[in-house]
Amino acid sequence: MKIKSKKFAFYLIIWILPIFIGIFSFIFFYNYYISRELLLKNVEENTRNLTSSAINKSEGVFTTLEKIAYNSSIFIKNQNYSRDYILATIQGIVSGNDEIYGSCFAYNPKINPINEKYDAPYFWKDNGKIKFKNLASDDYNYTNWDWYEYPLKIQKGVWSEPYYDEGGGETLMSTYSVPIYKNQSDNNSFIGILTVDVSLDWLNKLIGSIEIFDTGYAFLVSRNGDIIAHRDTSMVMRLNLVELSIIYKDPQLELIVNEMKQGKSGFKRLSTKFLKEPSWIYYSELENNGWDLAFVFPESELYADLFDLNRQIIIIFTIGLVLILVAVFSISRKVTQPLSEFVNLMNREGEQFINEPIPEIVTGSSEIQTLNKSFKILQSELINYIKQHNQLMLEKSKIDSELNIAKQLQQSMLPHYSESISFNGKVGIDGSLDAAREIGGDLYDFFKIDDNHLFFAIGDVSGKGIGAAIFMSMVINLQRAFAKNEGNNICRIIQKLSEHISQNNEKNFFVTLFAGILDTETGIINFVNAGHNYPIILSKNNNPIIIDKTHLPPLGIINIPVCKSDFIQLKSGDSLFLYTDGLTDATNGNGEMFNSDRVITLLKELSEYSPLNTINYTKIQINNFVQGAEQYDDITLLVLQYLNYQNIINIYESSFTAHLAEFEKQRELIEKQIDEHKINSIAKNKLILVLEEIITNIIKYGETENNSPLIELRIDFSQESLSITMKDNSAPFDYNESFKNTQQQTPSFNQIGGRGLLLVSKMVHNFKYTYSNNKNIINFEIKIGK
Amino acid sequence: MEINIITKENYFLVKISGRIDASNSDEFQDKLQKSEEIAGKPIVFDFNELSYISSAGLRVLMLTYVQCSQESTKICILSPTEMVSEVLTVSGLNEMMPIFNNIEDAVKYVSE
Repeated sequence: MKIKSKKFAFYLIIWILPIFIGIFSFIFFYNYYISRELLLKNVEENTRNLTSSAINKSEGVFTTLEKIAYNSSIFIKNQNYSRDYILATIQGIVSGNDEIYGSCFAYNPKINPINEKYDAPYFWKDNGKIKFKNLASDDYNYTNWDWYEYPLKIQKGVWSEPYYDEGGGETLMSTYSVPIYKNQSDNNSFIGILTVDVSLDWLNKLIGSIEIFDTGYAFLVSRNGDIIAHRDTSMVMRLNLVELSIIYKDPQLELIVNEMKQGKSGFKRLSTKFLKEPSWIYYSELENNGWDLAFVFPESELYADLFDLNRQIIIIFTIGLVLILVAVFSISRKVTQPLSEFVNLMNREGEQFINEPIPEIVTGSSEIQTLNKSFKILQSELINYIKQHNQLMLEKSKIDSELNIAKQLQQSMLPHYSESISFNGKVGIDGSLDAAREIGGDLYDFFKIDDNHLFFAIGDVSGKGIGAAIFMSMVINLQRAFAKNEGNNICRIIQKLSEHISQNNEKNFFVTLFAGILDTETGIINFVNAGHNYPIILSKNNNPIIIDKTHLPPLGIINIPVCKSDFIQLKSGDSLFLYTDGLTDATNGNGEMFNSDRVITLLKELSEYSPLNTINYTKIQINNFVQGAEQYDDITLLVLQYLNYQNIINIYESSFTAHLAEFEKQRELIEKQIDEHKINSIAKNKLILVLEEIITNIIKYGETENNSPLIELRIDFSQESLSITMKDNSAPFDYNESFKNTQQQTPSFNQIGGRGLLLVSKMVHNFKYTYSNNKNIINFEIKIGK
Repeated sequence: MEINIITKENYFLVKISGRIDASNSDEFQDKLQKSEEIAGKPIVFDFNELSYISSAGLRVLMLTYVQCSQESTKICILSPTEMVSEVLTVSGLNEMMPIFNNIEDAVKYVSE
């Protein structure tokens, strides 16, 4: 293990960084929002002041002009509006005021004193000279014109919408028209209209000269929405805000236009094509003529300072972040470096950890030093522990080796098959003891009592381990001794054994025992079962038979007063299968037991195996079943096979493929052997007939595309009969079923074939069919008549 | 297997010696069927020297029986060995082709 300071710092940063960024972002955006609000408020305030000063200036000019017109109108009224006086007055207005371009008096035709129907004397400036003309003519009925009609209608002076002078000049004009009454506001006493034409050049200069920041500017909008004054003179009278709002469908612009019409002031953001960039706009109305003065502030410029500020804040933040990272790295390094050093010190392999003293750490924090001390203590404790452990291991290995010797001794006590115990080939016997621990309490034994008697026994001592093993060896030795003395009397042997082992048995060990004596001449077994598992007889053509007899309780607890026994007879080829409960109780990983059903199923397949093969095959099946699960109990097997082939005079064995030609060869060989043993020809022909029919059947039903079936044939010759075993690896063919059919339905009168199996079924004895290990197995006998 | 067909006045006497089994039953069938002159008259199979017959041979006998019954002629067996007799009895063929131990009874049966 190695602690990396990087890693520690990494985790610190992972936690600190998002928090830092989160807080900063909050502050940053809050600050931005508040600053912007303040800025806008400030700008609005300043602009309002600026606007009102510009409006005051403009209104001053307009008011002055209005006053001139108004005062003149008073004079005209008071002088009984004599034409001479009017002429003098309006000429005076024009010549006396620089701003005034021209002035006109238009009579009310109804009260014209000189009976001219229309009269409108007009003075105007033309290149510095004052000129005169009468605007009234036959085709110029001025009473229908706005400048005449509108003031009359509202009965007060009014400014016209701006227009360009008639001379086609580039001067933008506005006319102030004031109605004159003899009596105030009496339409019947209406005298005429006095007009004053004013150039708006001054207004354009005034508005154009207004500068806000670098690129901010002002413009003036007429009541109709026309732009009448602008820094950029090309816009004047060219753009109309009402039209623009319709063209661009800009709701914000529409709102502004509406508010302007209603004479309201406002400060709004506007982003429209008509402005070069998104801007804030402030607008307010001139009282004289309802025109609106608007101030435009490009947003970028308005916020320039704010953005500058933000940039600085971000730079400061970045510097701060770097400082924090550096701090985190250096702190984590400082914290973990002594720890890493310590880890390097402790990073040692097992041997080194014990044998080399851990160095003292003097640097680092006190926690590290404490840890260092703790490890030194741990090391010395560990060294002590290992010493003790080694001592124990040494003692254990002594016990182990002794146990191993005991195991060998126990195993060497157990007999195995040898020629000397075969009774001239009549007996096959073998056993196996697999102890759950080194040594076990199971036992089996077999030995020759005399030339035709075999003693055999299997037993299970209560408990396991050394005690059980000692008890087991006592049982074996005692029964050997008593068998020698008592001869063929199984009951006497068992009684003596019981008597001896139940004496001084303070630990109350007991043994279940199945013991028997086989008469090798007859196959008869005289046996006693003292509480042991029932053995099983395996017979060649029969199901396993369980010998369910118990005569005594297990031996060792009490001395038994009476002993009974039973007899069974083994036929030649039969086996007796004996086992301890370790077999049936063998348990796999799922907790399932092997149980006696599985034992029976297994044994059905083993009827023709030798004892050793039966034992080996059973052990393989047990291992497959438990799949490596721990063995809890000793497993002991003993198999005794009786083979009295007295009657067998010859055995014919061969295997061949299922072809007629092959069978022809076999037939000749079989016939030759039959003739040699002087067996009569009827039996011979029957045998050949049956073999031919079965093989023909195998050929007919069993042949596959790839292989001809292989037939294994064995014929046991005796004086009375021929015993035949045939195996073939073709598909299963149930002869039993087939025989049932052929015998129930005698071939119809003129059925041509299909008589083969009928012949077989009628000509053989003891026919048995099984299917096992992928083979059809047939056994039958043919009696040999005299 | 040897087959000897003797044409008599009222029947054919077919003498067979040796064995009839799965290996030579086809040969047996061919020889019987190719003898054109065998048609039209009953047949007496002389099995005195036939030591062995299996179901393959029975099949040929049955074929011959079916053929004869179409021509309304009869078949019988003369003097079979013990083994052959048992096979014929066990398989039920003696129901269709009776077994006689002397030629006179056999001829009498087929001539009726």
